[in-house]
Amino acid sequence: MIDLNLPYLTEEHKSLAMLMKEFCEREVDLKKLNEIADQVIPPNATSAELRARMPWDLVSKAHDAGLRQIAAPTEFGGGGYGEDHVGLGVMAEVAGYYGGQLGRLFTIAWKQMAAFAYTKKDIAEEVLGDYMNDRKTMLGASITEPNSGSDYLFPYDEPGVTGQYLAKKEGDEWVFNGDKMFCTAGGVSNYLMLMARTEPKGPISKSVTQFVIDTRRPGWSVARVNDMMGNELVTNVQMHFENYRIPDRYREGPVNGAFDVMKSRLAGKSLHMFAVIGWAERTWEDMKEYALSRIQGGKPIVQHPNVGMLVAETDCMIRHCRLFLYQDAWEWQQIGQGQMRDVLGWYYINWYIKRVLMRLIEAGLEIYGGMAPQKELAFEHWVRLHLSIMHGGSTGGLSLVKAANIMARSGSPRPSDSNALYET
Amino acid sequence: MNDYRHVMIFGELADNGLASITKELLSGGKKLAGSLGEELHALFVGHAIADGAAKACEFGADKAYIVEQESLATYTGDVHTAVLVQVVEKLKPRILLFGNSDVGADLGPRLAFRLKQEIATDCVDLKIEDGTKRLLRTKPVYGGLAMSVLASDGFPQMATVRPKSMSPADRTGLTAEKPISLEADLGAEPVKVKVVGRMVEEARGVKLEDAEIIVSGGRGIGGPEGFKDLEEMGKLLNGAVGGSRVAVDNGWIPTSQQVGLTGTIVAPRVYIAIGISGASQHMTGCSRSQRIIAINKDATAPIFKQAHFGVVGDWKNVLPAFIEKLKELG
Amino acid sequence: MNIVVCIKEIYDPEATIESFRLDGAAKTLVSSAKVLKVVNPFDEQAVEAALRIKDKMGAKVTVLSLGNNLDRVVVKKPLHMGADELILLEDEAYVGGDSWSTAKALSSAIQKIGECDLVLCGRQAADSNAGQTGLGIAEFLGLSCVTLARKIDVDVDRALIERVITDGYETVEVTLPAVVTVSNELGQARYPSIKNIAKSNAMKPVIWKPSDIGLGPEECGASGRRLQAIDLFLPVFEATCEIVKGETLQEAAQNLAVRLREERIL
Repeated sequence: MIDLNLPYLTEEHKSLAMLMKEFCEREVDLKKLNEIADQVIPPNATSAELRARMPWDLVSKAHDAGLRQIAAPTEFGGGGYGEDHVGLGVMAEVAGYYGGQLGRLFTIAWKQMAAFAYTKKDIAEEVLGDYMNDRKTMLGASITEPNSGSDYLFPYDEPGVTGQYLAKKEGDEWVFNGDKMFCTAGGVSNYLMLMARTEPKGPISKSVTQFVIDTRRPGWSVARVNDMMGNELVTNVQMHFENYRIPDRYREGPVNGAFDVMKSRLAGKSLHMFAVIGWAERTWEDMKEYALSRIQGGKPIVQHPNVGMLVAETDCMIRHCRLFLYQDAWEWQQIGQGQMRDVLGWYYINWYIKRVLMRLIEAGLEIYGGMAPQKELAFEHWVRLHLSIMHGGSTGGLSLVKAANIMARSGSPRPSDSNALYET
Repeated sequence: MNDYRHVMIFGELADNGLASITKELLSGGKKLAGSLGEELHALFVGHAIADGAAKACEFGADKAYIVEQESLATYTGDVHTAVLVQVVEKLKPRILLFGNSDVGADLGPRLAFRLKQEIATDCVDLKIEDGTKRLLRTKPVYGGLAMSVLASDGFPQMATVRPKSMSPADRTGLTAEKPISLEADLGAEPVKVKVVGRMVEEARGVKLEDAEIIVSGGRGIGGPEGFKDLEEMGKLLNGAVGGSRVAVDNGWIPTSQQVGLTGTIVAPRVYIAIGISGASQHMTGCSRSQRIIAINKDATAPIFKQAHFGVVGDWKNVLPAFIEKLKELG
Repeated sequence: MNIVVCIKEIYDPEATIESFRLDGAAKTLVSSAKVLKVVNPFDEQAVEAALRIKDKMGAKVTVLSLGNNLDRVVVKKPLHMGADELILLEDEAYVGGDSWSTAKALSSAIQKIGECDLVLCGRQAADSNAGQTGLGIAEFLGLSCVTLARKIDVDVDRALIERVITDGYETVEVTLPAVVTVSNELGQARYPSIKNIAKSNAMKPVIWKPSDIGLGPEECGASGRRLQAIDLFLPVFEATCEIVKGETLQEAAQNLAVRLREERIL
């Protein structure tokens, strides 16, 4: 059970959380969702095959309940909660706890649709109109490339670090040739928010442009599926562009200004972490129940210090992480428009949640003993999946490097605004 | 001075004999009457009930009363309540017991409020308090997680009794006595409630509350097709098929096959719970079974706390081998 | 059409016994862990029944709830589902009642509400398991009562109700105004709507104390009880389950059959 007695949560938030809880309890078969996600992905799977795996009927029910589209602006048919990061956060946490895989199924799309509140109206109408009418699509984002991961995520503006020259202007159109790498939900989305290098030689942070990509246009394809030890329902793909063309109006923000646009799209990233912490809480509770009922040496193993201490330690870390997330979400709301007030907090939570997950995995191995890797327990699926998705955004270490860099520049650690991001 | 005397049970008939709940009330009522040193009476209200009512004395009642009128053939709350008010006024029973049946659960509270008294519903145990001679009524609360004991100082002291919570009375060997007929004024009240139709769902095979063996399915069955497997098993074991509220709410089985707090309370010799988690509201319906066998893929399901035997696994993989082996063992 | 629906706030009926401890003196279960409070599920279905009538022919649905320190997230849920108004009988004096004192307070409140064609309640509360309050309200108000409804059709001044009986259902016609208790066979209650959640967030429910509904505190709650709670205890489950195993599930299944035969169970 999730404790909703937090000072961050209003009556409205709690009511929304209860709606999400009820939805998950009625509609979600946890084991079945895991089994769907664990289905073997055929080699050279196409977007059509990936889409066929998705539990679209569940997604459709979520739409009927208003949950699928709750983060989109009301003028485009959504619930209008895009700026309520605490509200979306608690719903994501509840979805992770009661719905497992469903958590990120919501947050992946919520994060993208929220930002349409401050983008070009015609694009917002097109993308969100399509999303409202087509209940068999997700919304995703694409940043990294096969040869440029941390190059983009840091970003490395050093001379010589270029990344692929992906998009060139031809008349009123942009032509894409090349590949994008880790794209969550890329294979099951009609539209993707994608950044592409548009200036061949300059520093990355000033050479990349943000686009809205329609995957149904000719020239786009799934190059390969990133088949991981634990796959999500939405899968993760590498994408290939071959003479892919879109009119200039699908450009978001100024040419070479993607990193400025990014600053307005960071808020909402913590939503994924809310979903993760929710599922982690459930995983921890299962561990605790096991420790209370498994008898060895004549007593429940929780009474053996090595186990008891692990149960307590991981509870502490999860509570900690959870409060950090809520504080973070609250911070996001203080400025709005996707702006972040506490950059350091943002990097720290990115690093910290990975520590929590790893410690929880270690604890599970110790507590469950021989049972840990058994397929009958939900634990092993959770482990495989979270080892696979943990580094969405960047590795933990990179987050700390970025935090350290900010302190090095400013001389002392203090909350600073989004402009501190990506300063070189 | 209190002039309320004797234990009275509200009797019901089924298939021309006493309903099983009535036999249970007679058994329980007899013990109470014994503790009090008073008599056990049975009251029947309806039409063409004299022969059936007479049987109450074969099963322990000292006297049987009937209020017999054609318009009482079908139960209607308003009219039956008016009748009972008059009977209570005339006979002044110290204790008045109903079965927690379709009729009893409806009539008991109506009468209690009409008399400005009280009633404890769904009781599983009744006792006379030493000294005060009050009726102590024990009933499950919180879905069966706890038991509440209730008492009052008014008269009559009333309760509805959960079916199968008391063992039925045995035939005493005494001959049936002609029941005493009572008059009742049904009044000139315009009828505000009219029964205009009735739809009885044919129970497939053996009736649930009479079955010795029950095969029961819950959420884990997943659909109506799964229940066909359970029906086959039921046929093999000559048992009845039941289900939890989830199965009924999803339309996989008819309401008449629901086992649970709302539904039928059963106490068979063997209750086989398949894909049933064991939530308290369902367990209330079957916890009195002599032996509970559970098959569930969730090792932590609460059903395993109340079952006597179990296998942890998907029933689809367990049932075929189980049935084959049973056939083999002959 | 004016409908009043009575709802009760209770502990989540799915909560296991481990979440509670017994307060012997107060004769109640106290939740020791973070047990959720919810609307009694049967009362939710009563709300659903009211909303189905509202959808079909229009109605004003007023929700009534009795208790103390009621959780607004819980008692506003019917508003989130689509009900129109919320009135709370909220006071220490209302606490600890039985069916008698509860029905008395609720019916006094309904009299104060005035215009009322239909009163709906859940068939019983999942915690106290009495199943009397609806019948009691009808008695106090001098109205007809039909219990265990699974379908309610309203037509001007009468209602046609399908009610649950052991072997099926019977159809009953009742003149309005009347009280109807609702059973789970009515079907699943609708989800709260996000719009309604946002709308009712700032709203403050009407609160009536005993004096507001013409009752002295001694007539309400624990003081007004007719049935005294003498004791509350936890039943002990004796069965220890023998989990039958095998190398494969099939083998476990076979072993189960053998064990049951050995014990002469099957």
